[in-house]
Amino acid sequence: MLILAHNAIKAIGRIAFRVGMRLPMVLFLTSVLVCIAPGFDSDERQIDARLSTESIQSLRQLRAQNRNPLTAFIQFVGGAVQGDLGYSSTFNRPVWELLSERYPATFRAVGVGAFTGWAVAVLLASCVTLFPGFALRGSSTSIAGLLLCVPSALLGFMAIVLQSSVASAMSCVVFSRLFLQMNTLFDKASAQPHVMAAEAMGLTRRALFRWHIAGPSTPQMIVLGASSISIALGAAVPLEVICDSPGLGQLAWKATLGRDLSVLLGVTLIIAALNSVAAATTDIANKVLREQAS
Amino acid sequence: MRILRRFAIGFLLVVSLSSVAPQIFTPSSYDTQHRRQPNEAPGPTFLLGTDDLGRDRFARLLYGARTSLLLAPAAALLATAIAAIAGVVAASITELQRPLFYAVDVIISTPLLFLLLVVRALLPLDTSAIISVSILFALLGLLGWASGVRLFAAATQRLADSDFTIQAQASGCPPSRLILMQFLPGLIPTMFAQFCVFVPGFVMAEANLSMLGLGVSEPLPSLGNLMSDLLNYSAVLEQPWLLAPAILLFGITGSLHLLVPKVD
Repeated sequence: MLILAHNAIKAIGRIAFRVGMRLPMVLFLTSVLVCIAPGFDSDERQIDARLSTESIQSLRQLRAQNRNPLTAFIQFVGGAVQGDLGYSSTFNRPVWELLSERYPATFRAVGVGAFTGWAVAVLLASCVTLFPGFALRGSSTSIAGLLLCVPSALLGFMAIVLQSSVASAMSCVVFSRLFLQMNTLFDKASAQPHVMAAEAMGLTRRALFRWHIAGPSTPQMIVLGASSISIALGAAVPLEVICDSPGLGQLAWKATLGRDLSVLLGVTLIIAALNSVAAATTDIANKVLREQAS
Repeated sequence: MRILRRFAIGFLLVVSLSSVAPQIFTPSSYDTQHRRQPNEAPGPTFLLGTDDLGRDRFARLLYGARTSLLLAPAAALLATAIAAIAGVVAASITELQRPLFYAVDVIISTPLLFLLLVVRALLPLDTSAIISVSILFALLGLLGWASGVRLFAAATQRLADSDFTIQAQASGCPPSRLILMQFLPGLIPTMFAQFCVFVPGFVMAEANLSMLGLGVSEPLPSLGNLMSDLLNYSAVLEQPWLLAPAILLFGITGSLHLLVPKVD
């Protein structure tokens, strides 16, 4: 029991360390992108016809003064450490308040969508391997292929038409991206010489799948599970905007339209944190599984 | 599968040729307004009807396909080149491998769409449509390369461990020559596969952004901004020809996915 608790604490510590190492770099990268963007010194007030050329020039100079990515990064991190992520000019509210109000909707949709999409992909790929036949393989591959060619925004629209939720559209996006990879994974495991020999010696298909196909593929399946979170987060913007869901994706979109940088940086921070936690957890779970297997 | 691939190549060729020279198929340009014929139904003059500004939908579809089919491969070429260089460097210079992979992990930590939104929010207010679309695809190329680096590093490592490389090193072949004459030609199949993966991804990213009004801006058409008409559900029921851009996008991305070769 003590060893288990010790290992769990160690794993949590490793995850925290990895996320802690990754997040500042993501923020710095975002600051660099913001500062080198061609319109960094532009301000919406610059197209106000009532302002004189001198006023516009001084506005431009004021923004140009903050063009150092390192200074912008230090300012943002300094504020974030004290719980201050800035103030939204579009919503006239503190960014922290906006983020805490919106993240539950996105996290719920991403959680449900990523898990459902991954589970359906695993289940269908397992069925295709367990019951070989052209009909099942052909139909499931066609469905995944068809969904892969539809933009997430259009899937969101279809979710509205079918009176479905953002999470269901998200699960379609995740399923389409994972199913073919899952299928390839199982196909490769099935084509191993020892698996073919075991099948020839009369081992049942179910036992073969349980012990020689799904078992050895578990670490890769977990990795695909983590990438499902990243895929779902990527689809959050178009889906939440089209389905009018009050989440972080919709917030990012509104902030983009309003050129609200503090909100965009805050959203990027949360999305990167969630993604990093998922990736670090998967890496560590994968390592533990491999250690146990060896 | 082979028949499907041939069909995909044929379809892409037809679409590419018709979008490279749309003037052959339609006399109208993408921004020509036929003000006396707004919201026209399909007919012999306007094959897909006109929009509410009287612009020929068929002409806009051809020009829109041109935007996507010219710029997405250009962005994919840029992303493939950056990924290949980073992969070769990571595999060849072991001291740089860890920092490079760390940088890749950092970039992958944030979904591409969020990074694009950050930069898109900061484009100058007076940017013309053509410059804005060029910047969008350049950004796709500059930010979308990270997912391919590990693949190139693994492929380079395989080449570096091969017998011919060891023999070349023993014969005194300098590393620069080894990279230029052996590794890069050996990486061409991987580059092609990665390029084929990037192109549909970038076409879809543009479509998603444009449907949200953040991609290609008016009056320039793209498959994404033409599809924003679909968001009006009742209009789609009355005018099913509005589905044409979605069907074309579906055909293009489907064909591109079919062309992706298998690389071990």
